Amino acid sequence: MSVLAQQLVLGLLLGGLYGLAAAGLGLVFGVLKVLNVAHGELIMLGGYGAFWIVTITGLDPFSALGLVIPLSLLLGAVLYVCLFGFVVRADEETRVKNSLLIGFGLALALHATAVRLWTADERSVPTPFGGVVWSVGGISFPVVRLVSLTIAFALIGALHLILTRWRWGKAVRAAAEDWQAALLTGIDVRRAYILAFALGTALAGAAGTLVTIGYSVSPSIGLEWTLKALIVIVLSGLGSTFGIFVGGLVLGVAEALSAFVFGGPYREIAGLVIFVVVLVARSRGLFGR
Amino acid sequence: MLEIQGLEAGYGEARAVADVTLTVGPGEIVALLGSNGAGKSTTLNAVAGLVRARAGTIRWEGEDLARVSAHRIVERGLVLVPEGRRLFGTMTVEENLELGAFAPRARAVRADGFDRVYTLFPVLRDRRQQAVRALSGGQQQMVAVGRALMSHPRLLMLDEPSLGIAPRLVTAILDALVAINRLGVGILLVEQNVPAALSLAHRAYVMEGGRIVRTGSGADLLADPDVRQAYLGPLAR
Repeated sequence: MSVLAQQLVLGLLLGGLYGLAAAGLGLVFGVLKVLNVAHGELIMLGGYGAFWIVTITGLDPFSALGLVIPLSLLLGAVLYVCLFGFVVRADEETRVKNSLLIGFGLALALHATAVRLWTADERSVPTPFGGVVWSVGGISFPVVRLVSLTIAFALIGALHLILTRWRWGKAVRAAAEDWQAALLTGIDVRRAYILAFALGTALAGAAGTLVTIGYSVSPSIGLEWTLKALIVIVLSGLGSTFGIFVGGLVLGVAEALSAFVFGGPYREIAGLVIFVVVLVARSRGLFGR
Repeated sequence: MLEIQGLEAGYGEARAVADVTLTVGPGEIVALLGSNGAGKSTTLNAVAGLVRARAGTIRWEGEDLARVSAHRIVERGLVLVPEGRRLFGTMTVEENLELGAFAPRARAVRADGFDRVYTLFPVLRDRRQQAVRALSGGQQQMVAVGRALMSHPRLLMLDEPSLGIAPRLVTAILDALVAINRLGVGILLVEQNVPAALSLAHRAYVMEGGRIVRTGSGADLLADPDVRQAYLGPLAR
């Protein structure tokens, strides 16, 4: 029993990162109507960013977020202006095709560049309280992952505040709902799109940092994270930021449960089953609210 | 002052507007009439910058709008209430109105804007915290007009404001347009309800097949037998 409880706790802690990864992908998808299949590679890039910042400066790994987030915002803005900005105005069919081509191209390029620059080795960063574990009733809580979950939740809260309180955040929501109507209210929709993509990339960078701290990073983690984020979005829809975060937690717990019941190799099955079941049950699919 | 000269515009291959020349003077109410597909909406969308003119010019207070993007046209005091309202349905009435004052010039006088809208449509003040999609069609149209007013326009363009709205509320909306006009705001109105539009308008244009085919004062067109035949139906004789 306590083995199951332990697995569920670890699943929940990982699920927070799924939620963070999905919030970024979902923001970009909801606003630009473009599925950025390179989102996982942006997470990978954020992970390496954190790794090198910590290695070079000797900063505390968590405080590396203070550099990774602004750098990711900038990277996101550049990626939008140079790549994704060219497809968002196309009609739906062209937009879907071209954005997938751009996304896969970017993913392959980033993956190959990462292997070339940093080799295929897995890397992690040590934290001062790396091995510290809290025990409650026979269940252990790794402190580093608890802190990561808390930070992930705080970032989701920050995103929520940006989108509901800040006037440009409201502009992003307006552009997501009806970009022509947004233009007619005097919103510079291109700027709103740049902001949305930058925020999405910043969330990816932050997720990557937490992944590197709590687990490890290697050039090939991208696809897996894109897939997890996609499953979460399908599960929770795009309606609410906190809903996406909860979806991440649910996926983390479901994976842990599936690993416990069917054995470790079946861990990944849970997410895929959820993916298929939700898509069959909700024929509105990804676009449904 | 809006001057459209020889406008040609359309979507993709189709040419919805072939040759439109019209003007709206300061503080004037002008109606643009015509059957479905005559090119009225495309004309308004071209002025608002949602559709680009293929030929001809659109001048607003002397400035050519050809290279001015849609969000900047709003800032210049020229705003469109689009067909079907196009509100942000998941947001509240207040948020929709607030977004209407997004342009810096309008944001500076946002409190005035709210006052003006809530005076014009008192029901919106009571409903300001409700999600827009929970409102009736008529109330949504009030929000749409209110959102446009929040930008402090000098010319308000409306595309079919009475479409799909209970008759009682149509009167309320049209009365509001007159009140808005008294504040010195010019109005360019596309409207299916021809008698109502003509009774409101100082002048009117009739479009057919993408061209202006007739123009005159509201009263003249209302008396014109051809216009009566075409738009008011046999019962109106």
